[in-house]
Amino acid sequence: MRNIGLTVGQGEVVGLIGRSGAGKSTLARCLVGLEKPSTGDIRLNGASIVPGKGTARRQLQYLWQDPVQSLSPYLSAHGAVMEALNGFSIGSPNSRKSSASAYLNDLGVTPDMQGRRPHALSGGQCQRVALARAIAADPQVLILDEPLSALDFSTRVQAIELLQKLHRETGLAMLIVSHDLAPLRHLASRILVLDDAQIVEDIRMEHFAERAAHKLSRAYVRTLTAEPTADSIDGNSISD
Amino acid sequence: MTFGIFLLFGFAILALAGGTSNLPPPEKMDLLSRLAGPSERHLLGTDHLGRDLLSRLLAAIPVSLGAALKTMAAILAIALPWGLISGLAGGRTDMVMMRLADIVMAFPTLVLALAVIGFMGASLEASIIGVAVAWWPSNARLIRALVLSANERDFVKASYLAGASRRRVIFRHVLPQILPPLAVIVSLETASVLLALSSLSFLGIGAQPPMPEWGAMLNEARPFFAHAPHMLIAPGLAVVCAVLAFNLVGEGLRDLLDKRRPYQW
Repeated sequence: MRNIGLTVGQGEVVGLIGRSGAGKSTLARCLVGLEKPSTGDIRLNGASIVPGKGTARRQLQYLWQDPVQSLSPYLSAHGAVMEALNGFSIGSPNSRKSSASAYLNDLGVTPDMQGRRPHALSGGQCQRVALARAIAADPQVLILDEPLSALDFSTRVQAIELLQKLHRETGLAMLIVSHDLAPLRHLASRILVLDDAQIVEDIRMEHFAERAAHKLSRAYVRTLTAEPTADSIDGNSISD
Repeated sequence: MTFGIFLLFGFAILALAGGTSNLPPPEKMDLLSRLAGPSERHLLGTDHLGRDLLSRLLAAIPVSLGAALKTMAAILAIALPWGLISGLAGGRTDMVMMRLADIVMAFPTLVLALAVIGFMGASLEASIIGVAVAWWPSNARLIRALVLSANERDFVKASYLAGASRRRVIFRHVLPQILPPLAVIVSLETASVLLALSSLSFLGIGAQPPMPEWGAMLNEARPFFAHAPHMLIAPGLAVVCAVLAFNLVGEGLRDLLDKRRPYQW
């Protein structure tokens, strides 16, 4: 990828879409230091940051595509959230246990599930735990890499509602990477389309259907013509 | 694996029984009964100095198995931190550490062990050090490979991004992943280390007489093979059974772990 630039405003939810293999995830991973760009600059609140280091590690949180694999098999759901609270020294040591429980409760992980390890939880429950862990770090930006692709249809709907609620309540800025536009129309206020290693469209969601001009964007619009059904949410991905 | 554990357990019982039984002491010579075949008095017969073979065989259990375990511990003492640091540090540190290991690995293992023993003088301790020096690099490489694989797991990276310190990531998320496969490697390697130590003793540069040790007993039996084959059979079988036990336990552990999902390790 060359000459790629993108901005996420405070409290804004931006969707980044493109074909599989277009580099969406690579771009997202660069933001948290999981990949190293050969050149370029990443800024947070106008100041350059080193992704994954120092305060940037806390301020930019990343949600993995596969929530089950992103949670340690050696920690319970509660332990995973505690790890973030302890790691970033959030709150007083005595209050962290109850804070971790509160974060999990807020996201629908009930106390009886909080002691379970990832393999004893469903994909949707693991995603809630991963989300609670990310939120517990009190980030400024949450980067979600294909947050719905590893979930079944009913869990996807729940996850969309969960992310909507989270944004409503926290005003957290989000960058959501997806190969599918359908779920993003429920979440994102702005859409970036990545094609041929370039951002070819940067447009507000409400104008996407009418004003998107690039041929890939038009192809995405065609996937929106149908009513939101299981099929449209489940992924009418754009093939090459 | 059950049979392997049974064999190892059996060795432990026999070693304990050897110390408390009313068998003649393993070093006690009876030149009038030299090279005697199995009898009621000497269940496995006697050696060329009239020493009771069963007594020596039992006394050799802690010596032979203990030497193998000590060697494995010495190998791990070098290979574990070496592989861990190399795999976790990456970059130039990894490159330098692995090239050093490669240099040691360039020598044939037994030749390198012989060189160390030649430098230190023939003894069981020297053979332990010699085998450890020759064996650690391959184990360090294996451990490094395990660390690299463990470190690439999403949950390891996720824990770090979620605030866990580097130290916590290593001890809480990386090490627990490598311990089960390491247990398999240790079990299988102990078998080959036991064979190497027995070979060195058989060559006369490991355990020295009159110390009872299976390889040394085989060496002592060599000139009398035609007249007293029982001298060879007992220690030979003991080596075979011990190697088989470690291999079975190793294979069993591997099968057991293969059945489990990796993230359950």
